[in-house]
Amino acid sequence: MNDQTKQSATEETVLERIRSGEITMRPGSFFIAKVLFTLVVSLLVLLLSIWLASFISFDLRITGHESLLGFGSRGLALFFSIFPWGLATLDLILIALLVWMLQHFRFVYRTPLLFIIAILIVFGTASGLLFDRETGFHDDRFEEAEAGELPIPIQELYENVLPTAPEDQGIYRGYVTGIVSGAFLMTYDDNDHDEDDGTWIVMGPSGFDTSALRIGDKVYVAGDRDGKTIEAYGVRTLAR
Amino acid sequence: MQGTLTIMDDPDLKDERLAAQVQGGDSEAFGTLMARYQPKLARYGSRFLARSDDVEDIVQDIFVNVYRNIKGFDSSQRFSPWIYRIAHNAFVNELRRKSRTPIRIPDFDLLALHTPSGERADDLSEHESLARLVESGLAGIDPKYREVLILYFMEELSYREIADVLRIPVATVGVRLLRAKNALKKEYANRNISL
Repeated sequence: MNDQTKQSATEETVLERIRSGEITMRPGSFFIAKVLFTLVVSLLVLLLSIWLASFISFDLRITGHESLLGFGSRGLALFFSIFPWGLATLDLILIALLVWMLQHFRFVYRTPLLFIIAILIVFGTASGLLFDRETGFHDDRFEEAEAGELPIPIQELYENVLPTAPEDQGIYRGYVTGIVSGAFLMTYDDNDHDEDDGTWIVMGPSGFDTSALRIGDKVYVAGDRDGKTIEAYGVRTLAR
Repeated sequence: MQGTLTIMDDPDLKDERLAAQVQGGDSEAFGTLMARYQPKLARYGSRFLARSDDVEDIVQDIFVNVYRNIKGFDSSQRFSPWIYRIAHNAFVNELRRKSRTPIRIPDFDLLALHTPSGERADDLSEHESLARLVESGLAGIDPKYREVLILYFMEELSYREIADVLRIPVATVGVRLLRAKNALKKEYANRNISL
């Protein structure tokens, strides 16, 4: 069969199948619905990604771990070691899913992938931070979780936010019970009823100003413990 | 009927207008579109797949897909990148089906920001001579590079159209084309053919 004959045969076969009704066009509404479905699912994934970023922000804020960023290089290293990488990885997977779904749109596939991913990460993180810091949404859910008012999976998620402070890594949370020059007394209660629960003397880092502290303040301390004394390299008061 | 056929056979009648007629239910217009694209797609397929035995069947499936999805075509856009996109998917699926390693390897070219290159990476005379040379060395190079050479040199699509067919940034088309040419040169060197 030569090329011309092959061509005619292909055309004829396809046209015959069209005329017989074997092949039909998908209606225009199918394509509109497909685009709408993609956009709606993409929006939901984006919102979920923003929510997850805001939850990470809430986690770091409520546990006080974000304070480590201001505690010098040692604090920074510790911050990265206790960062909730599992949630962050899940967020990145959501962003990858979002990029994959939006790849059908010209404005996305014509833009370098790295650029799109960077934009989504920056936008998602900024929106998540803003949502957490401005709305108080997670704080309300946290209180509801403490009162046992949330459905089980969400309840567990919030309950797991504030576990015992990682004392083995030199992080302590407690309440100020007494203040002296350059040092203060702190009750350390990590709810595990072990030998380290009690009152500790916290020696502040050099230049530490105790005048900013009040009795009853909740504090986040990073330092090295020796007996009943903590030699702190970073101290910060917490909101709750 | 005679008059209709004359209009349909008019080479100046744009593909996009024909596609709009097909969308309106004119199956004869689809016959004209097939007549225009059948040789192009068969040529694209046999070069991309580096064989010609079952290309006709794949092309037939492509036309069936085109007809089924024609209402998803926006007739204010160019028709050729749209139909080549459907053909690309069909040929890539065929390559994967026949491949011993069907796992997709990520294309790191898509990640990076590339400086947009000019529309033509070569002048016209070089383009013509390269098109002739490309033909004989295609089978030996990676399908990813083979395809961009076919679309550019043989199907004569623009960078922008190739970007729409492959769904990659326009600048990446330039980069891939440059790498494809280098791969081709290496292929010629391996075969001791001087350029």
